Amino acid sequence: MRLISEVPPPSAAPASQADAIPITSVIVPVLHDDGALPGTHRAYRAALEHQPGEVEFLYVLDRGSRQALAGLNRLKRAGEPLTLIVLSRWDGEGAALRSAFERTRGERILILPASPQVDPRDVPKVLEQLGHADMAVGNRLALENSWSELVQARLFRWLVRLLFSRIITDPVCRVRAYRRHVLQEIVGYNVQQHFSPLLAAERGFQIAEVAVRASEPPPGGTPHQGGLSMLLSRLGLTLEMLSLYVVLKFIHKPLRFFGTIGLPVLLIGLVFTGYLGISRLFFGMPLADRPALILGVLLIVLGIQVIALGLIGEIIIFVAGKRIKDYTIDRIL
Amino acid sequence: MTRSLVVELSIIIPTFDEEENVEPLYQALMATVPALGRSFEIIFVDDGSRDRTFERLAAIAARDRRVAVVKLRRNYGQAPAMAAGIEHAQGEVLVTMDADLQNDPADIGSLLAKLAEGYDLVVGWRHERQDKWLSRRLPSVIANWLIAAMTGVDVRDNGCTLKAFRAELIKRVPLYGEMHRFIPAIASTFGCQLAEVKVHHHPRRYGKSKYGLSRIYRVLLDIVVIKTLITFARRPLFCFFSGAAATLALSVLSASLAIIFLKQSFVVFAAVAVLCGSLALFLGFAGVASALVSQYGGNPPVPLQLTVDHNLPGGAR
Repeated sequence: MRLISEVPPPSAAPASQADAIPITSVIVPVLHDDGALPGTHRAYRAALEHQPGEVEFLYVLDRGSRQALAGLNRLKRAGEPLTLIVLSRWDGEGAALRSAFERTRGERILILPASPQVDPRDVPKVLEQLGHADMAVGNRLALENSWSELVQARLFRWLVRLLFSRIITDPVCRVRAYRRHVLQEIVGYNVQQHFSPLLAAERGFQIAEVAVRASEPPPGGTPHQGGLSMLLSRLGLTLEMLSLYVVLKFIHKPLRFFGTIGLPVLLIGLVFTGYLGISRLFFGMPLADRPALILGVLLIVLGIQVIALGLIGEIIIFVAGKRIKDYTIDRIL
Repeated sequence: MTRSLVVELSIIIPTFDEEENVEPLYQALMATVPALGRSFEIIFVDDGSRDRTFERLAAIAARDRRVAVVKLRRNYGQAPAMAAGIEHAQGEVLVTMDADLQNDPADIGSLLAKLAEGYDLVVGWRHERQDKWLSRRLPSVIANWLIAAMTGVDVRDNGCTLKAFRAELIKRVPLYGEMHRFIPAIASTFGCQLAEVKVHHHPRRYGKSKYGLSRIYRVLLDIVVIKTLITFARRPLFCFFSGAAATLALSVLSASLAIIFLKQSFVVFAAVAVLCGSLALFLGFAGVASALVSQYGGNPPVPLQLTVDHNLPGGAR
C-alpha cells in the first residue's frame, strides 16, 4: 500500500513536440534520512539554472525520513516548486523511481543522489550527453583510496567487461540522465539501479559516460563504511550483476544455461561410472566395497536433474510464447 | 505504421549487413512478384546492421510504398528478426526469404501455388545446393536427417529460409532464439499440413556468410529442446515419462541387487537405488509442472481452429 501525499494531480501526457517547452525532470530518491537536503536542493537548482525550458524536481522519500521531510516542507513553504512523493514503505530505489517516473513530465529525466556524490557544477555535463546518446552516467574520477579498493574496482570492471562487453567505470555513481522513452522501457525491471546502463545497452540504447568530479565531503566527514561491510556490499553487487547477466542472456535459451552446468556434470558422472563398471566387468575389481559408485551415480542424477530443469524452462518460455518479445524496434518506415 | 490496407501477400526478409545485396534483391523481387497478380508488401527487417544496409533500405522504402523497413535496435538474430517481420505483416500469406540473393524470388510463385492446394506451410527444398560439400552440405545432410529422426517431421532441407505460411498459423508460432530452423516442427505442435517444393539456390554473390561451425553445438541443444517441446505438446503430463520410467526401472534393479548381495554390498546398491528413485520422482514432478504450465500458460500448443470457409489465395477452395 503506497501512501502518497503532496503530489499534484498527474498531469496530462508529457509535453508533446508541439508544446515546444522542453522540460527536464529531476528525480531524487532519498535513501537515508538527511537533514541537509535543502542545501543540496539549492545547489542542484543553481547548477541547473541554465537548462532550456523548465526544470521540475521530484523527491521520493520513505515515510520515516522525518528530517528530510521537514527540510523539504520548509522549502516548499518558502515557495520552492517541489514535488514530494512519500511512500509508506521503502521498497528500494527501483520502486521509488517507478512511482516518481509516473509523475514526471519531462522528455529528459535526471536522477540525482540525495547526498551529493558529484560536484553539482558537473551535473549539466551529464545532461548534455543526451544530445547524442540515449542515456548518460557520471564517472567520478580517481576515487579509490586504498590499494585493496583499487584491486576490487579493477576486478569488478574486468567482470563487467567480460560479461557485458562494455564497462561501467563507476557503478555507484548515482548521477544518471535518461531520455524519457529509455527510462520507460527500463523502469519496469526490478534490478538495482547500478545496472541500468547495462540493461539499457542490452536493449540496444546508446550509453555515454561523462567524467565528473566527485563532490567534496560534507563538513564532519562522511560516515566511513568499514572495510568488511564495503566488501560485502560489493560482493552483493557482483552477485546481482551475475544474476542480471544470466537473466538477460539466457531468458530465451534456458537450456543453454542449465545445459552448460548439467551436461559437464552428467558427462563426468557417466565417464566415472563407466570406468567403475568396466573395472568391475573386465578387471574383476569388486564393486561391493566401492562407495565411489554412489558418487558416480549421484553425478549422473544431478546432471540429469539440472538438464531437466533447463527443459522445463524451455517449456515455460515456449508456452509463454508471444508475450515475451525478444527484439526491440528502433524505427519503422 | 501508416499502411493499413490488408494485402494478400507479405514477403519478409531479415537483413543483416547486406548493403550490396539489398538493391539487386529488390530488383529481382520487382521482376517476378507483381506478375503473380496479388497485392503484396515487402518487409525488410534490419537486424542491427552496422554497414549502410539501413540507408539503402530506407531509400527503397521511400520510392515504393509497398516496401516497409523495421529497424531493430541491435542485432538479435534471424529468428527474432523474422518474428518482428511476421508481427508487422498484414498479408494473408507470409513468405520468408534470405537477403543474400541465395533464394530466388521466382520460386515464390511455386510456393504459393502449393499453398493454394490446401497446405498451411510450404518449405523450400534446395535440391541443387551451390555450397562446398564438406563444410556445408555434409553437415547439412546429417543435421537434416537428425532433425527428421528426432522430431518426426520429414523435411529435407531445414536450413532453407524460403518458406510460405498462412498468416494465422505462423502468427501463433513462437519464434525466438534460433528456432527459425525448426518452424515446421514447432508448427506441427499446432497442427498443420506441410508440403515441400523444390527451389533454386544461387551461390552467394556479395558479402560474407555469417555462419560458422560452432553452431553445431547450439543446433544439437536446440534439437533436444524441440524434441521435448513436441513430446510436451502431445501429452504434457508425460513428457518426462520415459525418463522417469527408465530411472524407476534402474532403481528397482539396483534395489534387487542390494537384496541379493545383502551381505557384501547392500549399502552401495541401496544408495544407488535411492538416487535413481529420487530422480524418477523428480522427473515425474517435472511432468506435472509441465502440465500445469500448459494449462495456465498463455499460448499452449493446441490445434488451431482454422475457419471452415477458407478463401485460399488464388481463389481455390
